[in-house]
Amino acid sequence: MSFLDWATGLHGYLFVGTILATLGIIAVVYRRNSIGVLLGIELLLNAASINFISFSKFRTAAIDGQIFALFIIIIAAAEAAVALAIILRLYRLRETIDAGEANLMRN
Amino acid sequence: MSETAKIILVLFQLLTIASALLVTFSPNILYASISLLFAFLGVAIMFLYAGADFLAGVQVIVYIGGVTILVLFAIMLTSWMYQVKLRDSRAKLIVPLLLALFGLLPFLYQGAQHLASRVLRTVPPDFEAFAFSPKTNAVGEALLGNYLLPFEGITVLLLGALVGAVWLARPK
Amino acid sequence: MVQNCIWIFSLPLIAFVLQASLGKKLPRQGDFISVIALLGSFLLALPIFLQVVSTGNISEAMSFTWISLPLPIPDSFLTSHPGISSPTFNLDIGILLNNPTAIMLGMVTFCCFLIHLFSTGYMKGEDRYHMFFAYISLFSAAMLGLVVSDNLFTFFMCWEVMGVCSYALIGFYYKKPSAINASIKAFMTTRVGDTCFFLGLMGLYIVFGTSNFSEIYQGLQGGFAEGKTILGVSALSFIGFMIMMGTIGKSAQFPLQIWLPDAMEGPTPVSALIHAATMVSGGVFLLIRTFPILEAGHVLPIIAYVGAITAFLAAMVAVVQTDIKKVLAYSTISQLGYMVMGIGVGAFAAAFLHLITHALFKACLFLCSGSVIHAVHTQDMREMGALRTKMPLTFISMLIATLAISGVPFFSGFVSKDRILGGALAYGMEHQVHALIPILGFAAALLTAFYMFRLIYMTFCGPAKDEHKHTHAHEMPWNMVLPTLLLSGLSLSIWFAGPTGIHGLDPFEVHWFDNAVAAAQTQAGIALHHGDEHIAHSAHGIALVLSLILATAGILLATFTYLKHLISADAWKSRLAPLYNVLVHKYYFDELYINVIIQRGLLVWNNLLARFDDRVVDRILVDGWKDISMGIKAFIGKFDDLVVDRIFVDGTGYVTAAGGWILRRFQTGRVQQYVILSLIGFTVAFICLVAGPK
Repeated sequence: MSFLDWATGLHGYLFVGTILATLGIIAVVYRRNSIGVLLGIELLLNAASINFISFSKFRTAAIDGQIFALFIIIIAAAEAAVALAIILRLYRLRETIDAGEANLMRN
Repeated sequence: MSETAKIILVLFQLLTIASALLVTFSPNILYASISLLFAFLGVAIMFLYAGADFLAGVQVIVYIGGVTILVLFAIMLTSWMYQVKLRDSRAKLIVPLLLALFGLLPFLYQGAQHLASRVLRTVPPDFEAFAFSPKTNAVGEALLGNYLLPFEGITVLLLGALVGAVWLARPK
Repeated sequence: MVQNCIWIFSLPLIAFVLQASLGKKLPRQGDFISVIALLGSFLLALPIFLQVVSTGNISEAMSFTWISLPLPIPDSFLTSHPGISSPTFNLDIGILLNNPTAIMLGMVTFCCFLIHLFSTGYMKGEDRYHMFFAYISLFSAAMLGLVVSDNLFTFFMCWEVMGVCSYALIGFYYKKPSAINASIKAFMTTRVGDTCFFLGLMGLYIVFGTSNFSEIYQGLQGGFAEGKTILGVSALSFIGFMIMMGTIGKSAQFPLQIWLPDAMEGPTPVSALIHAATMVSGGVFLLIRTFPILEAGHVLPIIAYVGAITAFLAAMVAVVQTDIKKVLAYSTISQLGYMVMGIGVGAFAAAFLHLITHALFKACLFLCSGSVIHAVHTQDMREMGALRTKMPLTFISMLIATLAISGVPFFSGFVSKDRILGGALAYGMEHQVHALIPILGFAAALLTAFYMFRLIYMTFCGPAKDEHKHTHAHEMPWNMVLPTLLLSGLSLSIWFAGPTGIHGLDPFEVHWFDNAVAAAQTQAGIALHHGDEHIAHSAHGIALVLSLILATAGILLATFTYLKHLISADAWKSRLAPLYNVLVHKYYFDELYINVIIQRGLLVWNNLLARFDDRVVDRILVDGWKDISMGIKAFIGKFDDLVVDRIFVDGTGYVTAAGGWILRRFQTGRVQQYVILSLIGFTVAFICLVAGPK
């Protein structure tokens, strides 16, 4: 099997999804900026979508996986809207959008 | 699928990975946001190759045209957010990076490859044909057929999220 | 008739219950209940008694199984001994109504009734009046129960109830320390005898397997006890000796006679009822009931000696007593000695007759002395005198009773005492080694006449020693005089033998008693060894003459000394000072018992036991247990404190607090930190998944 076959097959899709998920997690954990955290989450959700789509094609050859991916996209959109609103709110309250400062639930 | 098409897909996959790296590690939030736009674009192309043409469209419209633009607008239209300088400390990167590289990444990769090996053994014979058939019709039927209830639920969720977002972001 | 017997002893028992429970609330404190109950008993006993008098024979019995216990006898034993059928222990109790029972019933109910009647006068106004009647009713019930018992077991129970009543009644004046001491002394002294009696009872069960009189008689005739031994001696001797010890305790025989004089601390009716007429006679009645055992056990000579010694020693002491009741008390001991001696020498019938006649005239004497004491408020004869004119009826009664006890013809005492002495003399003539028995008996007869007339002269004759007391003395009311007169009337010999009482001289003779006792002897299977008929006949003749002479001599001696003052009592007192001291100190028996036996022996032993109790039981067992408990308590307390409290209770708190402290470190509120932590967990889980078993 050539590299192209590997990369364009299920393995390649899953590999990209894995990379995206890992980077998304790192972003969520590492970013001080709340917007950065939001971007990481978007990456994670995309990784999940990729998995659904790839299995939809290579496993079942049916439409169901795409429907789930569609739902994920919709939820991601809603999530992004709410998250931005929260970030705006946070800034108004604490004069910062540092994720580490959002610690009202501390202790 | 021709060699050329495959090469194009691999290029977009590389674009996705590179953009994702920038999203994660770029110190400038504006650059990160713009990189995310390209990552979404790569993912959309991957969807297209995987036979999800409708999804690819949705990805482009919603993510690129909606979420990313929303984020960019939020960053650029609110001057303070753009001016915010939050330096990410390199020291804080060590633990997540180690965890990601030696825990999460191998796990995900192992699991994914394992699943892939198993799935490919029972691969459906007509998946190539499935991949290159238009899906809009099918998606529409599925949403208003088997998936009607989740579809209705997700519409309510969307409405709630919109109302909530507006309420949260209301001017004080 | 047998059913009547149940009522005879149940009526006083009911009276006791009523008196003890609600006597205080009744009018006259309920004394009429007791009196009526005893009158009822007497009226029920009268036909039984009259049947014996008229027909000379009565023999009825009823019994039922009271207790039936399965015995733990192994089956192997039963199969190897086919003769033993049922492995159960049956305790049959019931009523034996034969001639002695009937005669005793007549005597006891009569005396008890009269003494109850007398008590209504004598005890008037006393504190705890109703309880007095409760006690004497219970006592009467116990005595009657004892009389009708057909077995030694219930006999013993009634015997003990009488002991308790005696204790309560001697200490009736509980505010007097001497009365308390006397009651304890009486109780403890009779306990010695009772314990022996109980041992004898157990021996009886071992040998015969029953305590029923009739069955014991049959067993004896069947030679059931042949060859059996208890503690190395013949079983029958052991049983006989132990029963004799019971009698010695209860009837105040030598050497346990010390309690009876002290028992005079009780009210005089009690002395009359318990310590003269009935309870002390119960001991003799026991000897009469168990006579076949005593005979078969060869203890009769011992009994004869005990009786003779008691009769003589007590009579000696009676001579020097100045307390009117003490004189009568010693007289009682002496007369009981006569009865016991009579049993011992085989004069069964004579002893039984003396039991009856003595009960009547001694009750009369005590009641008269009670009247006297009630009149002059003293018991000291030296402060009395010249009461004859003041209390003529009492004087007559007492004189008749005194003549009876002194053994003067025409009176009942003569008949019975003459027969006992005749029997003793015959015994002495037949067995020359036992000559001491009749000698002591005759000496006691002389002394009896002397001290009884001394009492009469000092009390009723001569000048009044205390004018004040004399002027205030007066005759008693009817309910106190009537009993004494009735009792003195029954002290005439005409009721028992004939008008004169002298065999062969009477114009007509009364034989009911002899017939009844003869029949009883036949029933009990007592074949008295009459010895040589000739000797017995001549002995009775000699005894008759001798006793007449001695009685006359005693009376004359008393007359010269205390009425005519021809002989100075004080001179003789100083002349015989050592003897006098011994007599006044009652042969130092009390000192012997208290100083030697109790202080040197029992007290040392008791102290040893007390010390054992104190040192071992208290210190080691009780205190030790306490110490162990305290130790356990301290250990548990410390355990509780250190382990449960510190480790478990506080520990839980510390662990929770520490856990909270640790968890609080993670609870930073930083979402990213949470994600890192979950990543760590994720990683660990992954490593486990990879490295773990496949």
